Amino acid sequence: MILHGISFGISFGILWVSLSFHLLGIAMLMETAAVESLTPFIFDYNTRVVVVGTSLLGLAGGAIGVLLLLRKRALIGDAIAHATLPGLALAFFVATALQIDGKSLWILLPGAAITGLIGAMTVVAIRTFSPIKEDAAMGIVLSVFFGAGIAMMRIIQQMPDGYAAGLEGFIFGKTASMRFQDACLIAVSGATVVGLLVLFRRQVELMCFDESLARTQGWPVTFVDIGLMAATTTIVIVGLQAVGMILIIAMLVIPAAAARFWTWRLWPTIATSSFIGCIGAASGAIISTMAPRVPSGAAIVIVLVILFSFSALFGRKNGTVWRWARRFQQRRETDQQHLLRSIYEWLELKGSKPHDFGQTRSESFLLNDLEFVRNWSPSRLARTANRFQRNGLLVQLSQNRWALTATGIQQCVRAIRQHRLLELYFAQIANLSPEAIDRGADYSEHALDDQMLAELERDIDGASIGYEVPESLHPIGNIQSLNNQSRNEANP
Amino acid sequence: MAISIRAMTVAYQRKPVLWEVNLDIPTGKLVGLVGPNGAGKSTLLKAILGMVPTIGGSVSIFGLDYQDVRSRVAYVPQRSSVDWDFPATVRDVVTMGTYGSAGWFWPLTKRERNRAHEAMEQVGILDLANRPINQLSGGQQQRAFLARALAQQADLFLMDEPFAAVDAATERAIVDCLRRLQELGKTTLLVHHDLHTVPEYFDYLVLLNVRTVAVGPMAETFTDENLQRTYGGRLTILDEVSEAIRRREAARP
Repeated sequence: MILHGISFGISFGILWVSLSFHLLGIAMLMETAAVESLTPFIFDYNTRVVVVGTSLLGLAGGAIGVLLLLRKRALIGDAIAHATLPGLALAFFVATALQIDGKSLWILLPGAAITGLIGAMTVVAIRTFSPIKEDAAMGIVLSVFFGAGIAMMRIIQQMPDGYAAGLEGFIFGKTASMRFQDACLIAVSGATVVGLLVLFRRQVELMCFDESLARTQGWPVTFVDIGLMAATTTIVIVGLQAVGMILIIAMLVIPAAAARFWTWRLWPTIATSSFIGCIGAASGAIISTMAPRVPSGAAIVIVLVILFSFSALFGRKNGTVWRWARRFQQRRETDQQHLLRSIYEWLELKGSKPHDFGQTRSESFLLNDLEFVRNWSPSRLARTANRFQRNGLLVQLSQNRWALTATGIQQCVRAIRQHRLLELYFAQIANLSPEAIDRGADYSEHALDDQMLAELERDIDGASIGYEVPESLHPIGNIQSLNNQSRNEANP
Repeated sequence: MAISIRAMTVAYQRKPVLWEVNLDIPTGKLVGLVGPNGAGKSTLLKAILGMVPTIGGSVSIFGLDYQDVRSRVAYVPQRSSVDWDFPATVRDVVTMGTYGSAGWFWPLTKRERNRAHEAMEQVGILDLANRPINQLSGGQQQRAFLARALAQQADLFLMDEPFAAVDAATERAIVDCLRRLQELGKTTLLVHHDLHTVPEYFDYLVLLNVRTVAVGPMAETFTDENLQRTYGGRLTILDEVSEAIRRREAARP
């Protein structure tokens, strides 16, 4: 509870910090003496502008990306991005015709935003007014707009003035051309997006999880949805220059997908995603300034993918490595219990249950004699036995001959008791057939803890089992013949 | 009257789903909404809440327009209508029920958190409060949804198939909870499928098949003839039902 509170506080903290980061970023860009002396950066001024600009973009993109992912709208960002190309080209045409500088962002970006939004609205319109589904609609819009844009770019390149070089930078990203104003634009847009997100956090959360609840509570879902689309468009547009329209989708989707491996709550996910986006974008930008041949968009995507792979492998929630480790651990514990059980059953067959006689060491036995583990590979058997020896449960008397120690006897009794109690439970309370109880107990016994064991004892008739081991309900070491027997009964 | 509907018609792409539905539900009843597949049961709930466009007719809730009594109505959608992989804990989901009264921007207060806490307690999922919702069983998901509706502290509850594919313990817990709500004078309208349990669970019945076939107290409405008219030729269901009715009548003194 307290831990949850703390983690929640921290993640909100991170969001606010990210907000102030945007503002701080602007200050850092100022080439004042104060900042110069405070930031002993190894980078020169231009690099600093680029790094600050792209990392702020990553921060905001990561935050908004989580919501797109949760709303199953991740690809709409891609459609918007591709639909900006004809807008860029058109804006350039218009500006050139009016004899203004066609490469100014103040001209290009509004043009990009207009066609980007038209693209997004076309997707929505196709989805709403035709039987075509959203994915197909997105495919259509994306390719048609991008195709139109490419055609226009060709025309621009063949224009006599020929000073259009640089527009391609928007396709693959070219951070090197980022100037102070551009970084400021990113900082201001990012701060607005994150700020609005914090302000309308509950409405956005409701809309993403359960739109019907948001509607019945009277929230203006349509407006919130439009707001989310507008925020996405904003991030895509200001990010065009840094990452390029083809790869900007990575800034939205990859950090969000990676963050889901670290936490199972919304705001921590958003904070983590922002963080990953920020780190990925900043390192990508640094790599691209050090190796100018690598387009910055590609560099950022590569870093993001590395961060994603790390998260997918080592993420605290559901990371693959932890899953494997858990499975391995479980299998080991299962093996140990099975070995203990088969030792006990063997001793029981011999009529020398060690705890009945207060022995401190059991009668010796050969591993190969044990019924249950007979089909194990020799290495698996040896591994488990050796582990027991290390833990002081078994002693090896000769090459193949082993015996239980006092602790081993205790553990052995505990394991067999669990199994038999469960068998009793399945037979008496769940009414399973004798054939099924052994397997049922086998499946579930490894998950029992002491409290559940105590409850089991209470539930089973003859609660006075105490620390005795109940008798087995089926012949030991003879399961095969029992199966045959019941089969014969079934088909007389 | 908790709900009163006059001549409501709803159509999806020209095919009428509800046709001139008239319905009056008195306050404080536990009402079952029963009918065959495609009878428009879920649509009726959504139409009451204004979530599907209606062609004609009017709805009033507690004698007022829905817009004016929004906070007094809680809706429990079908469990499958949301993505349970959403990153949230049970507590987060239940707390969402209080958002409607929490205002636009300010952080939640102790009042909202307490309401969520009480709601979880009432449906017996307090021990699951911090569990991520993607680790819940179907029954636990349904209880979380019910708790979310309770946290809203409404007077009218509209539930869409809360008993679909839940375990027996959950069904029991939900029914108990509904009874408690009824004792508090709350009204519940619940879409239900299992005709066997209808007379046991509810005290008021709406039989729906595009039109309302019958509406009224359980004893008068749950008759062979009405069910015949609701389910038409679906004989297998009918046979079961007449069997159920006969058994019930035989059991009566």
